[in-house]
Amino acid sequence: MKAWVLARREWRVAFDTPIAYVVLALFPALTAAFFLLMGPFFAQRQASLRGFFALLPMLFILVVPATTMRLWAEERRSGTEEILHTYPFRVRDLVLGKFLGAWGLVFSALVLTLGIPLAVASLGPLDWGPVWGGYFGSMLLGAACVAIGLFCSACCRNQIVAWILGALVILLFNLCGSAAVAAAMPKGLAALLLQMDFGRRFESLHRGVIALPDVVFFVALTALFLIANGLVVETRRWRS
Amino acid sequence: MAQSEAPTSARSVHRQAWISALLVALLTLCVVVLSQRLRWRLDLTEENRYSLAPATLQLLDRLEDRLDLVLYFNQDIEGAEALLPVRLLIQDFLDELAAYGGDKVVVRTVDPTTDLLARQDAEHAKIAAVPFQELSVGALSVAELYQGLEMRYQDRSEVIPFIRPERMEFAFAVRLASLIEKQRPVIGFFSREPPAPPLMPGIPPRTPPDRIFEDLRNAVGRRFAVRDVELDRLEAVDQDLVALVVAQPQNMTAREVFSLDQYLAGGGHVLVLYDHLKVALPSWAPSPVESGLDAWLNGLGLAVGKRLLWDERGNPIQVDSRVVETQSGQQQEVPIFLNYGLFPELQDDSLNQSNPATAFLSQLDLLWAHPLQIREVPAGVEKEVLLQSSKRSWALPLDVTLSTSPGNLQALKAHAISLGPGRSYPLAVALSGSFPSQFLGKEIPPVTNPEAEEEQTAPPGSEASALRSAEGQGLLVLIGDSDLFRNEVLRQSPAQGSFAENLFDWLGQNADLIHLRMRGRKDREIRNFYQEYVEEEGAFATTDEEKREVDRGATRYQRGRQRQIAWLLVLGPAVLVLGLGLLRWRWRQKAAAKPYQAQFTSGSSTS
Repeated sequence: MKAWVLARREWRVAFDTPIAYVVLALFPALTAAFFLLMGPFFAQRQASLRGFFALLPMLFILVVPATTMRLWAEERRSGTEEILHTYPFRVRDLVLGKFLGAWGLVFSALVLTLGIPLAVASLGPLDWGPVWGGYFGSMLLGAACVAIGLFCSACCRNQIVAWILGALVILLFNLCGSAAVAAAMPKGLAALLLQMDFGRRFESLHRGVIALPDVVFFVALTALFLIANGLVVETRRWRS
Repeated sequence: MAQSEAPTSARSVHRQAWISALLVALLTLCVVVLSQRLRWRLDLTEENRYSLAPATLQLLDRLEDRLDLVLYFNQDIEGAEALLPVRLLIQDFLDELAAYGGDKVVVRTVDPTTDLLARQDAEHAKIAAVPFQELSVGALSVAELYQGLEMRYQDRSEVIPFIRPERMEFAFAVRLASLIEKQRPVIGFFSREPPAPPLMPGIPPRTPPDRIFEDLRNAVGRRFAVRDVELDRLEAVDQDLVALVVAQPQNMTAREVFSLDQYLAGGGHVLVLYDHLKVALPSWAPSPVESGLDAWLNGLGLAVGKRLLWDERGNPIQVDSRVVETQSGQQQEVPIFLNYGLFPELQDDSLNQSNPATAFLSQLDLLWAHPLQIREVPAGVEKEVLLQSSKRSWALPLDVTLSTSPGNLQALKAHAISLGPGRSYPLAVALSGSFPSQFLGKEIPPVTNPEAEEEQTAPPGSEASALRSAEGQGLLVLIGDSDLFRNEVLRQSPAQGSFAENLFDWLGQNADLIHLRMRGRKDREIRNFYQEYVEEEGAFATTDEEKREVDRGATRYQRGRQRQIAWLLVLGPAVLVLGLGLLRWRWRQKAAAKPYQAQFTSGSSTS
């Protein structure tokens, strides 16, 4: 409940700054531009959103850390983190509140892309199963990316550094299953890294198959980074 | 003292945090790895296209050893991105197999275009590259496309030379079934052809000219063992046959019909290649044939019309030639082709696109085919039309002249049109389900073959009590033409061979596999703005210049509509969000200005 209060506060604060508007305006514009103007959608002439969902992991690398970079780094820079700790909130509530606030922003950005499936459905017989699967997967992927971004923000004092660090970590999760990485790694490690690959996990979801291992992966990764975030904040609180 | 305790405490918290983080990370890793064993999944697609059919799963459950799947695929398809969805479908299917099969199914992808060993393996497995047009920047070139699958199990292997994703599961399941079976499944063959001469060591076999279906036997023999059967016996048809072919039935005795009936009623699979006319080649002299099957077929709600089908979409056939003078002044003989309506050319719309036997055939030719009449089939039996003629078809009498002379073709066409408007006729039908015996309550026909009679040991009356009816899931395919599988036709037309292979693959399977259908066949093509424009504006374009103008206009229209949609989706949400942001900013400005304004107003009034 306390987390909800914090989430709403974070949500409101986000809309007091231009960042939320920039993210919300850019995200659907970029996805539509890459998918419809630069992608092969009109050339392939198939009512399918696979190309659209294939773009999301790459766009999340840029967009999600931008929504989370400020959350802890700004508190530290302006010295409000100590004040935050004086409020009757546990660290768990603080982390969860900030996470839910940022995740809500990602959710809003995804809602703004709904025009794309609607437009495609008006052009041809779209199978909505993979679309719902894709949006469900995007929410899970978004949650994992937000948790990573939030953790990186907690580790930095500077927003830009937090953004770069967040983007790098998400990029690593997107690349760890690639053929180049697999070739350079021992077989066992390559197999393990393949299981950690965001693109591979997300692809399975956006083709319309909700598999339990994929859901467990994203939920577990989100939980891991939120717990790590809590530990970082907790340690700093004790230090201060 | 307190000063030294604080850093120790901070250090211990720090250490504790690190240990906790490591433990959580380890736990997460374990959860992720262990979760791979969970099999729960929800397929949200309309046609459940990513879920393996129960028949395939049953086959995978029967694997006793490792099944190696080698996918021959060129990784780099730059310039042919249109192939990407097809490739993803194939990868998805193989991923599903690997996920279900666990350690028993190993999928390996090799690229014969870059890997020399893989190229040799592909050649050895008879997986050939298919040329495709590659569109690179400003140029069109032809590249090689590999899309084959080799299946290795124990000491045997099967190959799908070119995978078609929608047909993939059926093709895979059929081959897997063949790999798992210890012995090759047997197909029985019944016809009035003379028996094959005995094989002599060192002497190549010579086929008697009257064995007109020998090439069909050989084609089927690649995947099945083919055995000629006699139906006039007490236990005429072994129930271990996976299918029975009745090719061009002639004067079948009551006992033979009874055997056929019992095989079908017991859950057997039967293919009947029916003809009312036996046409001698190359003279094209017809002679009528009495099959002896009509009453039995009538009992199943089927009849083969004593008519010949004339389809306006007939196969082009050389009817004459004329001599023309070339530009260099030389005289050259040019053949004249006319559509021979008695050889219907079945195209996409005439082939059942959901049945594995007929889907993906680009074309199929029939010769002197007879239209079928499908009446009410018995309860518990389902019917499915496999082949049908075009809508411009007519049923001509059996006694028409078959000659291909231009005069006769004109006469045949005139005769056809005089019969009224054309319509589509069924030419092949499949009945599946539990077939009741046609001999229920009737006298069982006695064995007439003297050799077989000697073998009869069953006491009188025992057959009636052992009469089979509606036992198991039977399948009957009736084609109103047998000439399509004659040696001469099979040698000339690869499409007929493909149809024969598909048909026997389908017939040779169990009930589950028979009902495995095409998936992902639903056409999901988006609106074609170019076509819409052409249909609206270009209907009356006749000259080349007008056609070019329509083409230019259609291209402009298509581009315009596509850009309109794209820019609306690019700018629409962005403008909406920025507009809302602006409104909120204005509102906040006003809200922030209010107290000062009030203060200023009250101050000025005071002064």
